[in-house]
Amino acid sequence: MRIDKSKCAGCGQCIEYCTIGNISACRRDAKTGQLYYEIDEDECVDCGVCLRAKVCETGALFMPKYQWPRTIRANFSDPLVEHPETGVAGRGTEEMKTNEVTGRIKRGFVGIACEMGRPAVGARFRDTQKVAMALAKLGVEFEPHNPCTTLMADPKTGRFKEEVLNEKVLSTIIEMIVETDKAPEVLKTIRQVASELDCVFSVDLISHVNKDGSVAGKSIVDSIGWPVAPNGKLNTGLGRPLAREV
Amino acid sequence: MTHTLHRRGTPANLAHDFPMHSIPARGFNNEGCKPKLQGFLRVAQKYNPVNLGESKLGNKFVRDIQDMYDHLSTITHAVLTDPDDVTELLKDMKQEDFGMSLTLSGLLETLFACCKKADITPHVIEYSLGVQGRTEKLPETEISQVTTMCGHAMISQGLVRRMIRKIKTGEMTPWEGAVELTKQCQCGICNPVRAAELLEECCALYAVNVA
Repeated sequence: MRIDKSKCAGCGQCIEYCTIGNISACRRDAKTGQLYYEIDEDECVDCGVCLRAKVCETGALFMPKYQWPRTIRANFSDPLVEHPETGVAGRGTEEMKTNEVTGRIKRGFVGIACEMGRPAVGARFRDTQKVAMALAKLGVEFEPHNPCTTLMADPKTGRFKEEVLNEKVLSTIIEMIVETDKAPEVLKTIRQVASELDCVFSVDLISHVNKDGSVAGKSIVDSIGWPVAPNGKLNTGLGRPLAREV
Repeated sequence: MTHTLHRRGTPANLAHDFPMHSIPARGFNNEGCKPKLQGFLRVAQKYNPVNLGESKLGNKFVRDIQDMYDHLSTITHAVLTDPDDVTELLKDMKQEDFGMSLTLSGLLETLFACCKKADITPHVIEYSLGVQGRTEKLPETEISQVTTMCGHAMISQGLVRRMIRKIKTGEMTPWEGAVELTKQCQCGICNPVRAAELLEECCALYAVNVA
């Protein structure tokens, strides 16, 4: 996102819409004495929220026609942009939402995701790569349909394409399905690598609900002393047709 | 796209917050899904939703509901506040058997109880394991409880602060502030009732300068 200095009235109405905090500075033109705002484009994730708010009465705010790799910022940050790799608006896949139909996560497995940059801090792919590479050493396979995986130069090592490493996005999701037995090791690795990052990330664990109401995933997090939020998400299993193995 | 999973809050202020969505599975049952999504929206409207929305069309505060109903094509959202309403909605959805996946978020203990009353056994569960990394970069907890009601982070911390200022200076009510914030969340998963309550609580914690 950019502000046309010659049109900006310096009112500052747009800056509070910034999803990752205030990344703009108020400046004064040395020649005209006019106040104007300038966006730090290296920090901006191109989410488009300030523009959609339609608070700029002078039309100074605009989204330039960026070129690759800058274009991935909007793809990962603006939920209204349908991601070219998945056909889904947003950053992830349907993950557990349609699992009873897709059979994506089978019994004996759990889904784990690291939502890099969430909530509302943003993440550069340099940091995302650190997490992915730590997990790849455990032999984890990343979800091939997730747009984050498509930016990897080598999904086997978790290494990303060199040109995307400095790109910053509102969030990108490292998504994987692992055998239940392997989950504690994966989660411990996630916790260890977290201290090496310059961003935040939210962690998800998806697990089947057994007929007796027990959940394997809960035993896993309890066994490694990882606290679970009291709120979460349930797939009610009402989708049809049912996958062969649910 | 776990946009309803990581709402921050306390068990007390999450007790009346149940975002949910009906979603077709791409490549499996998305062909001809429109009447099924419309069916969900119709059922949801019976149970006092405080928000409704569709990812591409917007939420009920920026889009006419009939217009939304006529143009549904993808993941459709509703937010309820009463566990009894959630239970009754589940019973209806089971009976209607639209065949679209239905996902519920909220306090897990309450959701399991609702499912049990509706004679539904959940298929899978997703746990929120919290935030890792440089957590000092996050906004204060009180602000985060509001902003995380849009999992896509379209509700900015700056706008929450602006609403607090406006409420404290008498320019708007907590409800008006909550609606302004809710408009930003395109999908329609922000709970404006909870947002108003949280904003009111924030007003007691934040100071503003009045000229």
